[in-house]
Amino acid sequence: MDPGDGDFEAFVAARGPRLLRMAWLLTGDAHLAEDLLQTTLAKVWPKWHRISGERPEAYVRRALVHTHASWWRRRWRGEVPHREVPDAAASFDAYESVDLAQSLAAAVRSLPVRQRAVVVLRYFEDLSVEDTAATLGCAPGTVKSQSAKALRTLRAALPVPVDGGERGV
Amino acid sequence: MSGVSEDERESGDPGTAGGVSRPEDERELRILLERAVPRLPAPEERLRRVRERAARSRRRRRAAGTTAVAVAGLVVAGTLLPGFPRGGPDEGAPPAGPAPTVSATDTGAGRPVRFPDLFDLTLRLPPGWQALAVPGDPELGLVSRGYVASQRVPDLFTPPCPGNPEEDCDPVVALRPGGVLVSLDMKKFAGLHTKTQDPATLHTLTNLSVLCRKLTGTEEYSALLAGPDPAADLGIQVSVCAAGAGASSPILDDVRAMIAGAHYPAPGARPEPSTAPTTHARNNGGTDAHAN
Repeated sequence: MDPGDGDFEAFVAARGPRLLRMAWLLTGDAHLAEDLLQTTLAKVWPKWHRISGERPEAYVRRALVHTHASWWRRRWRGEVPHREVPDAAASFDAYESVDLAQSLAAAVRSLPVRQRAVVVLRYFEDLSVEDTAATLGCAPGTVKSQSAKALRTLRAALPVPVDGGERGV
Repeated sequence: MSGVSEDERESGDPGTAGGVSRPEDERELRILLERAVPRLPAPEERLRRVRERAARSRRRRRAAGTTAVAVAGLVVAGTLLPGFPRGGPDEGAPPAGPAPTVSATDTGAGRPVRFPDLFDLTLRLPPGWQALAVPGDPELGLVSRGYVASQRVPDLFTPPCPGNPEEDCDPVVALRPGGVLVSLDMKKFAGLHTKTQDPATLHTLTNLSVLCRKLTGTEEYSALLAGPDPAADLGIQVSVCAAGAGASSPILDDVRAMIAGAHYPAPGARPEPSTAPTTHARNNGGTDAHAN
């Protein structure tokens, strides 16, 4: 066992579930999500002694997003973003988590990879604009504009508002 | 989430005017994501698999460095032996990277070097320059990259870098004064073939990248090479980090000449043997990397 391994195990135990959900949101697939998380952790583990004293969560989050972007570039043949978002189901129950997850996955996967990362970091991880920009290595203004574009796309794609209102298209 | 009409989206969408998101939309999305993203079970062997992947990655990095050093040694040895090909008619196919070019005695352009994971892109290196192809690994999330440097490459491999994990790990620790490192990355660009120029132009970047700063570079340039398939919008981003060279320096002229001569093999053809690879490739229907 390497120095710091105990810390690493504790980190994975504590933060693994959340990171896996984040990976699912990026990939839209449970198996790919686990693959993405393991790939990221494999990159991070050898450096754990250097990063564990600082903000390991921010580092791992950043590694996850960048690894996904790297996959996207690598696997572009297999994962071409839809120009049009797939039609949402006509009948939709927001509390049917499977339907909701599938619709959400389709809608998020329709976003360009950078917008997808912005959505995950800002609205799932609840990071500030500045922290999101630091994670992605871009300007805060870019995060704002990407957020707005992503929201516009998702607003059109997701049929039911979470507070029970009607969709006004 | 509240809806929006096509008209609103096309002209003056009040919800996102000026790139600003509405707070109620943001709140709704946060709630929706928290509800909808599934809580997936963790495999029992996750940590063991992580360690195995890390070990494989380490072995691959070491192997890549070792191979590059070995090939460099062979090429150096070859230059000292009678009959070593020096660009004559029997030169044969360009070597695939990692294939450092050592041709100090050459007076003309250096030997061609091919990058198999970058559409078989072939570059003719300036004399004395070296090249390195770093293969990608989808399982490990590693992208294929090519490097060309005006200084020795293989012994500059370092252990994983701190900082951006995407930069694990570029092959040069520090550029020598007046030196350059050229990085080649496959990228997708919308409308790529309308953006490329012939010959490819080096654009000066106003802000140095993190990588170039780490290399003690003082200026950075980029160029775009079209890919071999005009329909694919896939090309190669060329990034040039230079240490005190100056935009009009001879070494940047070498870079310009190198990328101007970049080419791909003809579709379905094996990499071309050639005495003058660029000319030969074009004669065989090879694709110029500067389409349009």
